[in-house]
Amino acid sequence: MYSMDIEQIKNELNRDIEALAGLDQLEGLKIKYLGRKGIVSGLTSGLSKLDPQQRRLFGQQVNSLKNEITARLDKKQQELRAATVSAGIARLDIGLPGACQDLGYLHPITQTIEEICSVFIRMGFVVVQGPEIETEYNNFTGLNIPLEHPSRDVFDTFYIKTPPQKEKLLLRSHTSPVQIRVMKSQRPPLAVIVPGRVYRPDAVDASHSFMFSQIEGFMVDRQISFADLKGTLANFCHNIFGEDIEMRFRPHFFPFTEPSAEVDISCIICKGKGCSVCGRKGWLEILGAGMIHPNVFKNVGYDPAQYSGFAFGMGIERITMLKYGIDDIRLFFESDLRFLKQF
Amino acid sequence: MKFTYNWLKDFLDLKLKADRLAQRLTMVGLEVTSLEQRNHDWVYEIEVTPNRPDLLSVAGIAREVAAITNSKLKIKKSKPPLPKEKRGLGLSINIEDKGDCPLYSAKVIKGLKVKDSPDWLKQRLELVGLRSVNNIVDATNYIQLSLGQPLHAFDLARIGGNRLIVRRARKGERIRTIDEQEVALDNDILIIADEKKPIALAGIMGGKETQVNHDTVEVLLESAKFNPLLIRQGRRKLGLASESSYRFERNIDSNNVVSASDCALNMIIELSQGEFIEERVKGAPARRGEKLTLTFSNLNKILGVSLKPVEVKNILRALGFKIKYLSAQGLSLEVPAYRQDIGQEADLIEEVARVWGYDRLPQTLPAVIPKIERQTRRDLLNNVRRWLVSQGACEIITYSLISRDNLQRLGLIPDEALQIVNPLSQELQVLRPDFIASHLIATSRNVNNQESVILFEIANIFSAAGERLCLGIILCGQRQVQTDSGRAKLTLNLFNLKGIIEVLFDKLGIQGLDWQPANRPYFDPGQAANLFIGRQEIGLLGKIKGEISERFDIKNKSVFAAQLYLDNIFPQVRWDRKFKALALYPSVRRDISLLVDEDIQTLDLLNFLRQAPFALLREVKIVDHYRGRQIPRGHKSLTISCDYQSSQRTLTDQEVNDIHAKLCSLLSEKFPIEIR
Repeated sequence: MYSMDIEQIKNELNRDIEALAGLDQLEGLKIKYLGRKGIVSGLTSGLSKLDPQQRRLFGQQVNSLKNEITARLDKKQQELRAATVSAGIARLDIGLPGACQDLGYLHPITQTIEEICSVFIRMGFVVVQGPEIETEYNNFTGLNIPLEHPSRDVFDTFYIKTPPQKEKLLLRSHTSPVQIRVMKSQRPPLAVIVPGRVYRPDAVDASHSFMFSQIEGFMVDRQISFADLKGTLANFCHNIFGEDIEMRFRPHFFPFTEPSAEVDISCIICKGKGCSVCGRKGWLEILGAGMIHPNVFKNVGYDPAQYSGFAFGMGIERITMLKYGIDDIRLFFESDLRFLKQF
Repeated sequence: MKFTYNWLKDFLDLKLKADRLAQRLTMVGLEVTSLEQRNHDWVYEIEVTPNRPDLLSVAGIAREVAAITNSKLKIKKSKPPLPKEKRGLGLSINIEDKGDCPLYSAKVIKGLKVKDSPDWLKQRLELVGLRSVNNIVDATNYIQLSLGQPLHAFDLARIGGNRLIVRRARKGERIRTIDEQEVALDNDILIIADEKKPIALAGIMGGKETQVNHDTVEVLLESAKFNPLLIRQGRRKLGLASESSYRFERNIDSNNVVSASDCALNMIIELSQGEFIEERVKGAPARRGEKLTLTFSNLNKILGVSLKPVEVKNILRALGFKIKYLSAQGLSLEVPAYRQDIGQEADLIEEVARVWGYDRLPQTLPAVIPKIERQTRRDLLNNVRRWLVSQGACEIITYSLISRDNLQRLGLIPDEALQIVNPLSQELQVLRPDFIASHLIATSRNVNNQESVILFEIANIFSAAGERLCLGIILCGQRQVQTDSGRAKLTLNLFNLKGIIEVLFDKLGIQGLDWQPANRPYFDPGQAANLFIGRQEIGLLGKIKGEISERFDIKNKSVFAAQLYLDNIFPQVRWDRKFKALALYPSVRRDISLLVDEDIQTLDLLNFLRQAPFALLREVKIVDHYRGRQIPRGHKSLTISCDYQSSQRTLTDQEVNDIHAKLCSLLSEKFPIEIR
């Protein structure tokens, strides 16, 4: 009779497990069969009425039933968990966007300045800054640029209204006045770079701006040569534009250097074959350089017989435009986020 | 400067092909900016740097090309004809000031026929971009281009009297120039005058009245040297420039004045069948030949090479320098008169270097002892930039120059800003005294195509006291946040701005920020604050007045802006942070929920609590704030959390409760608040 009950219970368990839909119902089944008031403990309640022999036999049967139910339910639980996990993976739609804090962007000009400064810092240069409002002396005379001379034509300058008896002030038209400031206040050896804004009253178009950024660099010591200038700038060019870039020095004229040079790199667009960016020349002019003019040394109180040095200067907008293929300088100053978020 | 290959070949035996020549010129410093094949000739355009007026002629370029290619110059010495009237017919030249005009030559040619130039001449002039006028004018232009000496031909019949005067103009005098401009003159302008009136702007442009035309039968041919500074100032003042003024202000070689005039005379006679009548020359050419020395060790040190003395000597000799003395240590030489740019040893070193070839100079790295700086201003600036970017701000660069109108739009007084004497346009009249106008323009440019605009700039702002480095931040619009129930939009407000600033100061290790109410014409009253560290003002922030945003085309959107004075902030940066031992005993938190009248400043409550005399009270902060329907009007609800902690032991609930109760009662005694 009891063994009949056990068979019935097993059948019912089969049906129940069959019908089980999810993990959440499993706990209910455990209670139904194995709980304190469950079916198994119901079986044991009649145990006291049996004689000892039967009791022991029946007890063994109930125990094995209990073990079987526990095992069956555990197995079912594992199956259900496995099913849930695999269903879960199928449901994850990884194409949906991740949630994150929106980051901002550094201006491309800042990025170029940083990149260039860090190349020179690795070569032992120190970054110095100077004021944008300058004196005529620091911007021109000290740099061996006569106030009335055609060589000043490229340095058209914004002047600032000052009281008539005061010194004339202007917006610096290049970063070179910082050479005068540094050399007047420090003694060699010097290895300095100067990033900063400069101003020239040029009509604005796709390649001209009345405000732009320059990086000036100079080095002064007892044995600095033109060969050192070439080596330093070659290092710079290869770091910024790539190892395979070629560089050439062309003689030029600047009042504050002698000898002076303009430096070209092989066109980064066409690799020197000639294209519209380099005007079919295969070369791109990127900076001006030279050995610091003895007159400049005299102006700051250095003895040109003892010291020599080189200086160079470059326009950051132009370099940035070349690097990214930007065709209009005005984009840098228009604050259009559609532009800025590309860098 | 334009010239042609065939024209150049008139002056030297040139074997180099046209394109090879272009490359060679570029690499010795005469940069060829264009080379075009036209009419069986090649047209070169080269950039002549302002120190080399000797290259503003075909002959000058030929001299240079001969030196760099070892070609031979063709020496053409055309003997000038003798004047018919050796004693002259009484033409006189008066030079008022020899400083203004050291040398003046005038030749009189009569009986000439003004007509079209021959085709070869027309063509040559046209190839280099000059319009053919007539045989006389073309001859003067041709010689100017060939030899670099500006020349002018006057119609002699229209000159009043027999006297030519080189003098400063008098105030009130006027002249009509050949390009039909009526010009008012003054004492800064040098003129050529006859006995009555100005007939030419010396060195700049001739007068209309004495211009050579088809009726002309006699001319006065002028060749002179004028003071370069005077010509430069004059043409700038008058806003007139010409091929002659270009050459005169760069300084011409006075030794060339008379010989160029002779060449022009020959050409005019040939082209017009005129007769040379008389000649007058006043003044004298400059002394020639400056003497310089060059020490080879200096040259080798500056260039980083070891050139042989003979190599140096050959280069300089080919360039026209007369070598006077040569030894193993150096040489001395005489500079040719046309090389006015050579004045010291450094100039000679450049000459040697550029002809030797910059490309052939070695490439070395300098031996430097790097100066390693600990924490630089640049590092700080970079960090500030990156912390801002990590909070979603985009860096912009805007112009330092703005219009007076934009300052007016902000309610500022334009006259208080620094003014530009020579502005490029009305938009660029003053140096900006702050960022607000520039940044409103930047915001307005983006506000229609972007959800949120969070911009910053680090740059100088300007005032009569000078320039100061500032950080400007502006924000406007909505920020999107991802939540469990999709993306939510948060409208940016003043506290987003304050939050960005607080993060910045936290990162910089600056404590003790103090906010004080501020008043600015462009901020909403009651919606602006000044930021202090101690007594030092270090910035401000606020909500831009709606009407001002609208003036910058930002409609129905609140805009918030801040400005921080980095020069005042950076000295406060603390890098010497000290480690604090991690707490051994737990802290206990108690919250106070308050209903507070709007008039009470949260900052006052916090400061009061922070100064309360309880050693165990470790931290006080606002954890929630609310205004709205569930609380009475004119009130705000605040939740302040108070952290209690001991470094000696674990606190008991009872002792925390006791202290907290005392704190609450102190608070409600001091402020009319309702603790909930």
